[in-house]
Amino acid sequence: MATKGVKTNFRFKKYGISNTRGSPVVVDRLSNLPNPLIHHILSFVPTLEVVRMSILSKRWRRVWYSIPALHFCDIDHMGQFRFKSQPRKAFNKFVDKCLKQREVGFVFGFAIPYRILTSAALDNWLSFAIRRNVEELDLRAKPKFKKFVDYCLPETVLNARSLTVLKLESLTLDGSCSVNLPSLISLSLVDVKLHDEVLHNLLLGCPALNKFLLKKCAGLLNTIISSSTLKFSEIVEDFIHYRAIKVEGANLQSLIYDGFCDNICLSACKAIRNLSLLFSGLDDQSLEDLIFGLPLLECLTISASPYCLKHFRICGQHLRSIRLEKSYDDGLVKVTIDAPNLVSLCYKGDTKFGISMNAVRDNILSGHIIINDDVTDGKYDTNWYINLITFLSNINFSWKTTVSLHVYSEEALIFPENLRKICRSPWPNLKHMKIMTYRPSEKKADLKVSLYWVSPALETLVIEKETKGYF
Amino acid sequence: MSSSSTTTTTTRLLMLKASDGVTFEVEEAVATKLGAINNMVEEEGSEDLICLPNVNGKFLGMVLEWCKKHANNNTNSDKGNDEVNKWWDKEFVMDLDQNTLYHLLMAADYLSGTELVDLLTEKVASMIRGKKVEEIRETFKIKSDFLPGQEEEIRKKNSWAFE
Repeated sequence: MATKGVKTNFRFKKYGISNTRGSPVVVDRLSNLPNPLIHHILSFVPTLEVVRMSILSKRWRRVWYSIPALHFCDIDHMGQFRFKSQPRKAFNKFVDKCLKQREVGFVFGFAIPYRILTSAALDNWLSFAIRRNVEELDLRAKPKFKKFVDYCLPETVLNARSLTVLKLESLTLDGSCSVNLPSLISLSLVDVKLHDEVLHNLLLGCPALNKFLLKKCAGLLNTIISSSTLKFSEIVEDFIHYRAIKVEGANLQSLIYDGFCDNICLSACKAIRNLSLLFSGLDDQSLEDLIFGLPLLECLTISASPYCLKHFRICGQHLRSIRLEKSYDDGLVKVTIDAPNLVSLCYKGDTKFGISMNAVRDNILSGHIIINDDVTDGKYDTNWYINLITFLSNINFSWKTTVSLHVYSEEALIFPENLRKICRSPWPNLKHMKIMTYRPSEKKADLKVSLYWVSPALETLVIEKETKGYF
Repeated sequence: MSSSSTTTTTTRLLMLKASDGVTFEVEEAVATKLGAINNMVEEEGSEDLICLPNVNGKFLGMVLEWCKKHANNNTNSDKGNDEVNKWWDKEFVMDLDQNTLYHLLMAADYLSGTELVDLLTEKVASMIRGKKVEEIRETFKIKSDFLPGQEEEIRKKNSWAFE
């Protein structure tokens, strides 16, 4: 009996599987898959193409009748009409026929990116889907010239008892009808035009709501998200400015905010454990108050802009993970971290960021630092090295920390000898360090000397080449 | 200077035995990315050896490699990991031949590796999407077993989809 440990980097080749992209296929594997897997595969294929597959073979003849997810779209991935002659008429006929000829009633998804549709036809299809107890509805308009379509959802959709997931894109919600979605768990509004009161009523009509995404929705001024069942929420402004945002969710665990609002109130969300503030417009004091008001906070992500933040403090007894990001914007940001139970600290950005940690216990902390360098031609000057030394010296990692440091080029870490003589080692106690770079340097010996100057107490040093992704 | 890994957390190790007798030693946190294993671990409690008679060692190894990558990347609270995972997934499915894809999909489904099933089914779907029927036949070596005229009949019946 052979025993194999699974190592991080084993490749398939070890198992004798070569890259056989071009090799001939002899057996029809696809047709042999069980129906549930075929359905799963076809849920990623436009319904028109699935219907056309009925002439593949006897096996495929009736498959489309029972696929649980339907996707209707009048244009293909190239933006061309799917039906060449009389595209609108042919598309309408196709959807009608398709819905009518289905044997089973469990319409599951219903994506209609439409562009040239009459709202009457769409109303009919949606009503049909609701009558068949559709569980998930994904309705995306693709307006040609403007951002929103003035299509008004039929009242039946906003009162569909079976709906668990509702995604709307590029539509207008005018709030003229009542809302009752007792089973709705997940709601996503992208590019939807609505005003404050409509949002309020919508959420009031979703007593089981768990997830809520509000993205690029115009028309809102004082955005209030109020739901006692809500657990996960994401608000993305994307150049749509909200005057104020207030979230009232006693059970909210996770919130992501991406925008520039400078008036965010989370005082009624005491249960938040994960908070991400990506480019908020909050200043030092408001940010500190906000974090202070979340006693259970465990994971915090902040994108700091020097335009709003100068020197702020992060406090939290339960904070386990902190992620900080900074843009290239010129200007220094300082942060003082007071989190005795921290186990993970990540930073991504330039060197003009001062991180200092108070009350550092001997936790096993992992530090993950990605330096975006703005050095263009790979010529790192004295300024670069001085800034980097200052940046590193500020972070007072304890000896138990394992730090992984990512820079673009190994060259960026080869500190000149004259600087090493006059500066103190930035991390005198650190024992474990990992370096990741895209560009290895010829001067391996110099790199090691330099890194042992950074941390003279090093016990393990790993230097690796980054293979995937960008900073 | 050593370049050993510095992971200090100790987790329980499970032994997974494939149909051909090959066994894999994996951390519990990795193996429980698979719903089926998770259930077994919860049920049987202390049993550390799990036999999987429906999965060949070759494919079990690949499934576990995927699990390991995702378990690792998820513990690290790096938001950029989403990106990294996507890159990694893309590469994982890029050069799979259909035979491997088939067995891997069956294995992932049997082991209830929901996310992996999603990844693999989407990969198959990408090989179908945008192709004409003839091209799909060619790609997957699907042989038409219709009687003469039968195909034409279906085409006519569903003419609204073939215009």
